[in-house]
Amino acid sequence: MQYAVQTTNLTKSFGDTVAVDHVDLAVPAGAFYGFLGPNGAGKSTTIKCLTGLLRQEQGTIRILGLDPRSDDLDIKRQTGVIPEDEALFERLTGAETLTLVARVHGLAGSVAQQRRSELLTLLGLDGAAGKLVVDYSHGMRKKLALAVALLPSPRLLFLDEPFEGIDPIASHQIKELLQRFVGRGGTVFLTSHILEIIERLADHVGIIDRGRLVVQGTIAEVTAGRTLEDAFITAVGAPPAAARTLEWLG
Amino acid sequence: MKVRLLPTLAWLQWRLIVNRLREGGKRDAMEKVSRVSELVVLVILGLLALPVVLLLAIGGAVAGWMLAAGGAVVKGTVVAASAVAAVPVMWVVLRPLFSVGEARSGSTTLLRLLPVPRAVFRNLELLRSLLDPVVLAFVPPLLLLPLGMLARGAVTGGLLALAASVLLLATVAALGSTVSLAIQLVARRRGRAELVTFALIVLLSVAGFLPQLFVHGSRPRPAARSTTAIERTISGPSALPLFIRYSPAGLYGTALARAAGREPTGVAVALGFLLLTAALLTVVSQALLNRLLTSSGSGGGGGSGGVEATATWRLPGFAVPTVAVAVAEARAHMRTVRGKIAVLTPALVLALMSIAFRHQAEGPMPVRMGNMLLIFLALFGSTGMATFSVNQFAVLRGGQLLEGVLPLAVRGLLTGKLLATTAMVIMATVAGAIVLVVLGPEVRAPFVVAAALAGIAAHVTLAPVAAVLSALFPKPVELSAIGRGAQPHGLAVLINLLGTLVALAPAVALGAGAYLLTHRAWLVPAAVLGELALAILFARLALPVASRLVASRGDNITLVASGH
Repeated sequence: MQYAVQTTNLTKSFGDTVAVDHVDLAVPAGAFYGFLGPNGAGKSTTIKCLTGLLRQEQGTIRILGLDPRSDDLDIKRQTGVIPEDEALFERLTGAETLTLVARVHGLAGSVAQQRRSELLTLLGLDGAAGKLVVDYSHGMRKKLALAVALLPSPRLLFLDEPFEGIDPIASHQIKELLQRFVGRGGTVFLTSHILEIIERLADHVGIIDRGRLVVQGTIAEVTAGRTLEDAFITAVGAPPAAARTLEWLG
Repeated sequence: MKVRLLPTLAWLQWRLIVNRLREGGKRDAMEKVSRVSELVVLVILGLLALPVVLLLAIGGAVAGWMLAAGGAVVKGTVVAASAVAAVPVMWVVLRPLFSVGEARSGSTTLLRLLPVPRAVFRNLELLRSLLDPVVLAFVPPLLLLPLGMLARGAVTGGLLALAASVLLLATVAALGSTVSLAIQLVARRRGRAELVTFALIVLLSVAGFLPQLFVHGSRPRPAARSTTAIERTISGPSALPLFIRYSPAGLYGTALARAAGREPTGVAVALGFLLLTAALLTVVSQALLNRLLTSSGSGGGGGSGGVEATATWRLPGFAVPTVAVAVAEARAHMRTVRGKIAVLTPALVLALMSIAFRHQAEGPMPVRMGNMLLIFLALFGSTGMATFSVNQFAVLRGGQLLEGVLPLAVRGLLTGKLLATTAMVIMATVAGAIVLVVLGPEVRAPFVVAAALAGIAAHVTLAPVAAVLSALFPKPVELSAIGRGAQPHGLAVLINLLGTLVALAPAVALGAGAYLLTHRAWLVPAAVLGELALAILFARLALPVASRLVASRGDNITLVASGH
């Protein structure tokens, strides 16, 4: 099987805190991979290591069969990323941001113009294309970040919480767009706290907890007949039942 | 309820201060050293301020003693006490102005959602002005002055002076609160806040040169018929202009003078005015607070501009992605207050200096003054752009993360950044040079061109060093702020300044050498142009080395850019 993303013993620490602890990811090419975990589990740090924003301490990473240490630029040419934090110039307009990305990716002017126009229209940003990003709402920034990730027509998308703050109509359009992307052979590596989205879109799932990958496989293997929520809670360990605690809460 | 909240709010302020020292747990040892060194500077400044506070306190007590003694010293003492009282008054007006670009954090949102009575917010605002370290430093002298009078046996005078001090502090609190809240209201719209910040920075730059415009050269001036403000104060407060007489410090001085002269009616009038001022300001500040708490701020800035075509920018000898980075960064920088200031400052300051020098010389500008202007023009090139050049990975925030995920080699990225700041340096020096040629015709045009080229050469020479400094000392900044919030790391600025002096040396030596040997002015810019070519060559050779160091700091740059 060909893997779009493959890691072995991927480890990243910050001082005494091990954020990613010997993680072995295996994301098949053409998969829609949902990467789940509680807050602070290590999802965003993993994505930052995979996209070259952070350097792992231990382990190996292969992205589209390439080694980030030697083929960093080749990988970046074939991937689109929405990091956890807003990766946008505050003092560029939405249109200028997409122009920058197009130029860095070496897209021809007419191609860039057409893609930019289509993306801005699809995401409902055409009216705000000339506005500075600093004046965008949170949802608009997320949409622009998605446009940035999609513009170079990548083979692999890393999306960290792409639906956060997005309105239902745009969310519906983005889901369709991502499904079409995977249908044409692309790979999506997506984190989200909305399990319904993962359950609906993903065909593969990985669950990370306290830096360790606790479950990974096809969605059918992971859920084993349960809902994804049940499988998730089983994997990460449920907190004390609410009924037995907080009795003071009326 | 309100009383119970006070310790909680005091604890909140304390934790916010302490946690500032702890934040950034993900950062490495180098970054922690960088942050601690910034704090050490503040601690040293605090320690240095202690003797001043002590002297002020002793001065207050002595002033009270002298006022109670009466006689000829009273007038001088009143002037001194009024001048001291004016400092906290001016401070509470100016301090919020300096933070206009930083006042959009909305840090009180959580408190506003909690069941905190509005009266607590009002009192907190008043208290915040009084608890400002600078204002606090003036509380001991203001309170010890009446004690000094009491100690000398002037009981009535001492008590009246105590009332004046208390009312002055109340006025300071209300004034500080009013200005601070007004600034917060202004700052709720980004565009408006940035315009105010820009105007203030320009005003501050200009203010430093204004006295020089009124200083005349060697020719002795006829004695002015009008007396100075101090003389007028001594001859009687009524001789002062109205705005000084009825300012809080002026009213305080009047109250002291009348108290020392045992004129209860005069004291009562002055205290009454002070009370009225404090009450009016309190009412205004409460109205402003109510508006802040009940209306929503709109973060919007300007309207939406047009959408540009995606034509490819090209620059011979540079890759398209590198030029794209340069264009994006230059645009992004120029749209910040600091970017506009960096480009406009040389022209503005040189214009003022030229006018001031001509005014001072009362005729053609002497050569030494012209040389001074040339030195400034050359220095501004590199030092004026330090905000962007020695903090190049932190000024962009999210933009840096975007560059991190795009297919850009570190060397190409650094070159793009260098092109962006160099374009800004060229704009700044060209504008400065034009001003110099127009306003200082005595300064020979070839020398002006040479100074401009030398400034650009110094900037280019220092580019690899600036990249390394940016990687070692990245500091999150607010580029629309006036004060330290917009400044790069202090150590990086210092090294850059020293580096600029060193980098300018070859250009100065080549230019001076060419002129002294040939006495042909046009050879000077030609020689400096040669130095610029060498600077470009040096930068091309040194950037790969800097790139390796920058790449090794990649994790830290990512964490700073993402605000961790």
